[in-house]
Amino acid sequence: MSAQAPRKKSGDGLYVVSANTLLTGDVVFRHANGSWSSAINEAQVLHTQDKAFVQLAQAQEDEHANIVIAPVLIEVTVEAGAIRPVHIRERIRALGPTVRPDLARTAYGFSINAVEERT
Amino acid sequence: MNVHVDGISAVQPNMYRYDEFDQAFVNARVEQFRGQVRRRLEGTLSEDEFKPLRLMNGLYHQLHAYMLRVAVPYGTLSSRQMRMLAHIAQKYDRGYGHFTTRQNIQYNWIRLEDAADILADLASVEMHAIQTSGNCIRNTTTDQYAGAAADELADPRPVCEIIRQWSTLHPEFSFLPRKFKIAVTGSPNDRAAVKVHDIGLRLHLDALGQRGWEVIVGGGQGRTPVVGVTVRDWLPEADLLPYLTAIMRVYNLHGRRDNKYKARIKILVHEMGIDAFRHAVEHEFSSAPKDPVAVDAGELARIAAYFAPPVFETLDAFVPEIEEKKLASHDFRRWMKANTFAHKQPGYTIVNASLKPAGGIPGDATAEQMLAVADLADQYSFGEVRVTHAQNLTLPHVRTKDLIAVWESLQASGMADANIGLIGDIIACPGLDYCSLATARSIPVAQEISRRFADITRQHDVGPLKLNISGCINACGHHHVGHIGILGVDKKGREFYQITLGGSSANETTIGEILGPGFGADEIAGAVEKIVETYLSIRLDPSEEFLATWRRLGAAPFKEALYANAGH
Repeated sequence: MSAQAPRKKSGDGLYVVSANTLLTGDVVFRHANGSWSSAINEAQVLHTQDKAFVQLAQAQEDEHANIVIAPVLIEVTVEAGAIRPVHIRERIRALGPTVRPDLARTAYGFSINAVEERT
Repeated sequence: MNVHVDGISAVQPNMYRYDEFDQAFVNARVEQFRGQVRRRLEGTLSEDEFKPLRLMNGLYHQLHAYMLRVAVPYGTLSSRQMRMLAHIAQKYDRGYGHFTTRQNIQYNWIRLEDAADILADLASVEMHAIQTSGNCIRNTTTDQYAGAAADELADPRPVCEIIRQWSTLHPEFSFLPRKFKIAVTGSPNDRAAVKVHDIGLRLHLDALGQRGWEVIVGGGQGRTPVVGVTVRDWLPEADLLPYLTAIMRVYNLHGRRDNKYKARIKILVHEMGIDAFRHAVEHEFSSAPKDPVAVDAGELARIAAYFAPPVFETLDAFVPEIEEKKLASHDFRRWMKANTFAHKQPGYTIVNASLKPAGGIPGDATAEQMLAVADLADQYSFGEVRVTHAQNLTLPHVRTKDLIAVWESLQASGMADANIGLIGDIIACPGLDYCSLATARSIPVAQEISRRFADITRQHDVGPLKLNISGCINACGHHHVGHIGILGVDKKGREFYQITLGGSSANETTIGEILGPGFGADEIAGAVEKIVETYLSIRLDPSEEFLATWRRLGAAPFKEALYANAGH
């Protein structure tokens, strides 16, 4: 099983469930209705770790159903309505390679420049 | 000989050609994988069951998508194969591929449903992705100038091919403690980095011209960089496979499997000690029957015949129009100096096509560039191309009198930057932009540094300088052996870059020394500039290369320049 637990924090953070599609390998995010989309801003934001684990478990059902692979919880922030992964690795996953803006998914929530920001 | 692919005539170079067994085996493997993919998509194979199967066929799952790593045996490609690589980039990927430090090519946007079709296309040009992953013997690498270089003792590729055939799906060595990499050089001037491979083979000739191989074991980079040590000074060529078998058996038996970070042969050699390791290998070598694996002279000759030199014309080494062009054009003169190499055949020259434009992505080539190189190979280089471990492409056999035409064609395709071996010729792994293992990005750092040194005159003034960047401790960007090495790490969620100086993978192989505290992403390019400026200010004269200055003076002047007022 490839799912992983959220990192331990002093308080609950915000999370979204992400995975890759089995067929194409594309990065996807889980909606509140259980569907998957490449747009992170359409993902369901989970406000507690308990809720995050429940959603992750449902995502794992999709893994068993051969829809996605490697579902994980990623920590995010929500700024001005945009969902933004906390870690640069997840920001790059969400947007595409920073060195190929022509291949990046720039239409969703935050720009390629947001990856560059130092946290 | 000409062959036809999709109506295009291609020159078939002298290189190994599949026999019926090879082709049937690779075709069968494609169909086997097609069935495995179908079962995965149908759900009868779980991801846990499927993962080792796809990895055995070079199909990884990376940060954004599936990634396919295609083997380029010892870096040799025909123009026909190069065209197929371009076709795959266009049809199945996003129009480009990434040539790696292992002389392979990677595609970053592969769909699982296309994977078997891609392997079938590869098989149609005698290529595959087998053993580009997993704890097995990987693609054997060698000098990109093999069979062409003026300084070579003999073409190492026949031995590489024999190793390839021996190691492919070797039942005893398919589940080693860890991956295993072999590099071979037939030149006294090592361009294959043989001392930083699990096994390095260096050719020697005795007074009678007999061939013997120096066997170097236990080199490697990664989190524990080690310079390999010679376990045998002289191994008769006929004993090569029995001896390699003995090494592999000692490793397979004694190598650690409890800790993947201590599972490479370099750790075993270190823990046993070279004398005990050598004794174990020699004991295995002397006690095991050699006949099952030994390659007799007839078979060696049969394989070597595939790599016979092309039918060169008898030409003068001196070509007046080239000398005149060098006098007339600074750009051409600089390109000749940096991007060409002396050929063994008078009147011929080795040409390097740079995949390192200023601000570009090291090693990336568009499908159009691949096709351009294939065309140039057909027109000017007997249909042959090489992939270099420095992530460039080589046309090995160009008539010197054709150099102006080749240079102009490479310019038109964006592959004529006169920077081979200079600071613009940066080796960089894909880093965090693509790689699941990476902890920091490599490519943007390479881009920023190459932009700062975009002035090619400045690069030539600096002189030979190898700058290598890795995006994690696994060191795919070979930072340990860069004259300037950069290692990207994650420091509390921020990208941070550590500098090493003084590494080299040439004959006097050295591991770079960490200079001091690292730098942030917005500081690292400036730090490199300071290092270069410091070198320029302290070198004895322009003939003293960066590495020589480092070896003469050590770290002190560079530390002083970087840290004296930096507040580190």
